[in-house]
Amino acid sequence: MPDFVSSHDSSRKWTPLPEWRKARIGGAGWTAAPVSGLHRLLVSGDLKAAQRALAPKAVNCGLWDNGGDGDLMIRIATDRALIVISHLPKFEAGWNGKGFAVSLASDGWMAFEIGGDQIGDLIAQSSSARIAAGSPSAAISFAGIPVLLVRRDKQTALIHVEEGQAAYFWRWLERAVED
Amino acid sequence: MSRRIGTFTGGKPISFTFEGMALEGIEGDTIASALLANGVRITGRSFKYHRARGIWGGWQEEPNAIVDVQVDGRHEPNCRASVTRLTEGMRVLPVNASPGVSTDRAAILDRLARFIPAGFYYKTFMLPDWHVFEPRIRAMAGLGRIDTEYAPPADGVVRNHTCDVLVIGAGPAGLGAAAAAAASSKSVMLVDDRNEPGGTLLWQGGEIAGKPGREWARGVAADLAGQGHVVLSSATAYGVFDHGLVTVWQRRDGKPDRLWQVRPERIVLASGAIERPLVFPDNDRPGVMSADAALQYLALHGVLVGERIVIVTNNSAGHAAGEALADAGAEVAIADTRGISKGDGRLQILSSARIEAVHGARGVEAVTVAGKRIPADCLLVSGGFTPSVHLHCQARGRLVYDEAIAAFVPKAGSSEILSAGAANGTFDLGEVVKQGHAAGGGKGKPPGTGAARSRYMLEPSWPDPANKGRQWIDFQNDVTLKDVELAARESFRSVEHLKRYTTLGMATDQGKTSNMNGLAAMAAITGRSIEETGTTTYRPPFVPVPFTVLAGKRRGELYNPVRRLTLENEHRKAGAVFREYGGWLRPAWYGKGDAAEAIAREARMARECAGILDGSPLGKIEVMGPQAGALLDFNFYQRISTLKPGRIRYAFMLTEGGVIYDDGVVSKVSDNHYVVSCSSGHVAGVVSRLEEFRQDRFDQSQVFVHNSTPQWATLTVSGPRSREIVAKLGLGVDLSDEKLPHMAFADGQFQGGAARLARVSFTGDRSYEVSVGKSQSAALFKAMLSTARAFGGAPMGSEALLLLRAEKGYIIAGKDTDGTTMPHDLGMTGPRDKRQDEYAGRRSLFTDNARRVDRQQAVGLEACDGGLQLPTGAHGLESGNEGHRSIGFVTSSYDSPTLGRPVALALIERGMERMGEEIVLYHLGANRRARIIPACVFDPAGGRLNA
Repeated sequence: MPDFVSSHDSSRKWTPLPEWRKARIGGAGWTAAPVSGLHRLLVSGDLKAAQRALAPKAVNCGLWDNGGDGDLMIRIATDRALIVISHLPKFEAGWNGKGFAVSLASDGWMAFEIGGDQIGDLIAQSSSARIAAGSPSAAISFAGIPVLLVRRDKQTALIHVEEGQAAYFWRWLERAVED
Repeated sequence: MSRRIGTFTGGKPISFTFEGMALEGIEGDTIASALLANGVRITGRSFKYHRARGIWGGWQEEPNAIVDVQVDGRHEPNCRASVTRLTEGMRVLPVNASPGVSTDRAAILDRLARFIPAGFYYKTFMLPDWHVFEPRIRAMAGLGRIDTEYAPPADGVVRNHTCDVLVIGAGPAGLGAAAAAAASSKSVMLVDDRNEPGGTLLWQGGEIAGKPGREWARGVAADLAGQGHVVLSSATAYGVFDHGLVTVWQRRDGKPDRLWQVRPERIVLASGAIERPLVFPDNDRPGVMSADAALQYLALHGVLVGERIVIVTNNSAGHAAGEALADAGAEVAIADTRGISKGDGRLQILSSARIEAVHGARGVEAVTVAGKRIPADCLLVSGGFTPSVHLHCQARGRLVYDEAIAAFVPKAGSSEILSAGAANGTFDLGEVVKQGHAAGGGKGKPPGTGAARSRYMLEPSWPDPANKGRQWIDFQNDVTLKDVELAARESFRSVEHLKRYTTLGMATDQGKTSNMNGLAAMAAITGRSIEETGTTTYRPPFVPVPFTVLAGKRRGELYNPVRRLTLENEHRKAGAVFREYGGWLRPAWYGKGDAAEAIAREARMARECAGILDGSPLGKIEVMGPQAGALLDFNFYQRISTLKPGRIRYAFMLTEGGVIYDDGVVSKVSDNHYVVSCSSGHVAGVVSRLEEFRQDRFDQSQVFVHNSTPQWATLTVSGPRSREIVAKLGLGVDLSDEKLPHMAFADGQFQGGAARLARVSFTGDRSYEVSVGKSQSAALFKAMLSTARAFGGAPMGSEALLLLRAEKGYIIAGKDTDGTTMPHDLGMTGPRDKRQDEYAGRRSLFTDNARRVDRQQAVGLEACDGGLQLPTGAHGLESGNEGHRSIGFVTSSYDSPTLGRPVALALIERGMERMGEEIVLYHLGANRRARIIPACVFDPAGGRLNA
């Protein structure tokens, strides 16, 4: 017998994970859907060297920057960025002699595209960050959890969420529709 | 009796009930105005003495008319009747009265009042024991009643907003400020707690920019909204927090309330002022109310609060109210405490008057002034206006006492907030608009005002201890002038002490009507000035804000969310019962039957064959760079850099105090690359301390920390058949003990993706941790499960793992250690004895406290009184001449299916040198006997690690 046993089952409180392949939210002037097929590398150190070596075409993005629909280098901190690319280059995880460290992070994050003319309302519900003012770092608190917020185009946000928190993030979006 | 005047043209009728009595109001009514329109005088009973009370105020300051409201399936306790909008079908229930407001049984308490003054709780209920009285007192305490069957919807909405100028209050000052700011091309947010802009213009009138005040207010608000500025009505700014964050509670018709979190560049406070009572005998009778409130009910709701009205005042505003009420048809007499000349003959005016008595326990019947009994059904009181400086003070602003208005006003420049109008102690309409215009950064002339409303003039009239009778200072908390005197006699003379001792200024109204009179009384009693006496600290919220608004949608899954396993749905399909462990939702065991049986089955399976555990939450923190080894050496108790590549070491992390913070294993990939695997619940903390050490002590370009935990899924196979199961996965790794010994790892591949295989064990059996990218975890789980089942293995939950590790004496940091446990308390003395270099916590391991011989040490316990499982948390008991004392406690306890007996871990004083000693354990009134044994009771030689 363990330290404590009861009939309590927390799965009753936490609903099953969304079926990501079919997951869609819409109806409040914005729509949301998970994005699949992206590869990611977490890099720290000499970010220019990392970009040259791993994703030379990536667009550097801070908060709310419009990076377009190609490869992105999303800044997290002074010396850290998440490279988001459609094809993974050859690389060796760990310390690179050119002055940066790199880790595979493709599965560590989930990305969501949220677009529509009312996306500003959603962001006002979710974050106190002054996104219009921008910031070199795309990392903000959104719905109470850390995310990376950039844009694919003028009205489409690309939000990266740690994989383990993606289900919460999605449930939060589902409730946010109800404003 | 109060009534609706016939000439008032309101909205459509609204049906509601009060105490079950069917009544009718009209659209636009508050509960209070509707009750007054129906002639209801007693609206509730006071908190302590259960005295009959009626409506006092016209808005947020209301201390008496607190009601529970039920409407459209919603239940809201403790609503202030003066601000709650009446809606169709509303059920309104008074508080603190049983069976009803007119027949309250507890009213007898008022007759015992002399025996229950302020502070009587503290003196009376000491013997024999407070707990004898506590249940009854708690049952009597509080006002409204919460319906425990009702779960309010989690539908509140939060909205963040930034702007150049936030104007709080849409009266003449606020509107002037907002218009001026907008004209200066600033983005403006204007909030007002009423449902219409205008503030005092709505009931005191006035003319601005050549228009009637109400029309001007509507026009300015409409213009602002039309220009794209945010204009909110029914929105109360209730708190100012760090860095200028202002919180606003907005009530929305037919929609959930909204909580605004506003971060403005500048704040203009134009929150007006609140009329305060005068203090005289029986000034709390139903029918005694604020003169300004009476004006509001007349102007906004067409309600005349009485037919024969006496107004007692110490200022000019009382006269203006009298004239308006007389115009509406009331017979009005004014008792002015000042020595003034007689009026114009329309109103009866008594100069230098004093209220000597108020007659009528259930409602005003007459008032005695200067020995003359005047028949009256309503006594209006105007003791002057107290500026609403709450938000200024919340922003750490200071106050100065203004003798001219007998009130505290904001000290200019003492906070980031600019105050204007009545909130700034200014009451002349022209000056109010001018101040607002300036606060909004307006250029040029402010809008002109018409003929001045009567100039506000006042002579202070503070509570007089020489007066006889019970004189009420705080209506809501039943605090009288005698209570203040008692507090002073007992040396509770600071206003903060006065508040705590008497409860003056507490509860839902937070002293909006009582604080000034309370501190003035204390000043008079102690011979100090009012300024010397000072005010209590102003804290948010300005008004009671429902928890539903603060919580918003954050309930259920949105409250304190846990992290989720990628394989959660697969575990659900496998019949997992889930629990929360270290911020993760994880399988506790599998199968919906008896939990203990399921856990025991899984533990036996893991010992006899193999169990598969989802260990994905275990930390996988990469430390990289030329100084990676040095950083880890500093971070850990054990030296890490001496590891060979491909090997793993178990190690502790200590706090600066030398206490065990966490334990884990570190894998060395290369001299420049390590992976730290810490406890699941400590990942964020370990990343944070590594980052702190990196930035504090090392060359930041030579070492980096990546939390790669989210990237990898880890499935652990543990048990004697584990190697055979892993062999079937085709990872491409040589599994021989020579190539992959215990505490080593190797890289392989799983279905074309990277995989890492590590031999570490938390069960004492041969174990393998297989880590793959999360996108491959479902395939790995499926492959592992099908292979394991062929050998008799199956998934295993966290509870079985916890049991298995306890058999081996493996600790869980934070469960089997506490805030004092150091590594040598667990027998891990090597680094403490040998390491000469610096590491986190080292110095603390050599303090006198760390060297004490009676430290609690980790040991095992076995029951020696019948074999039942020992209770976790039970205390070891030592008895001596001075009684009993604790010598430690049980940290973990399980029934071991493998050993067929209970096992337990404990922290016991001098435990290691007391092996074999029997001790007494005490738990919830019962004693047990246990013997101290080594912590490891299963395979102490460790042979099964390589079996």
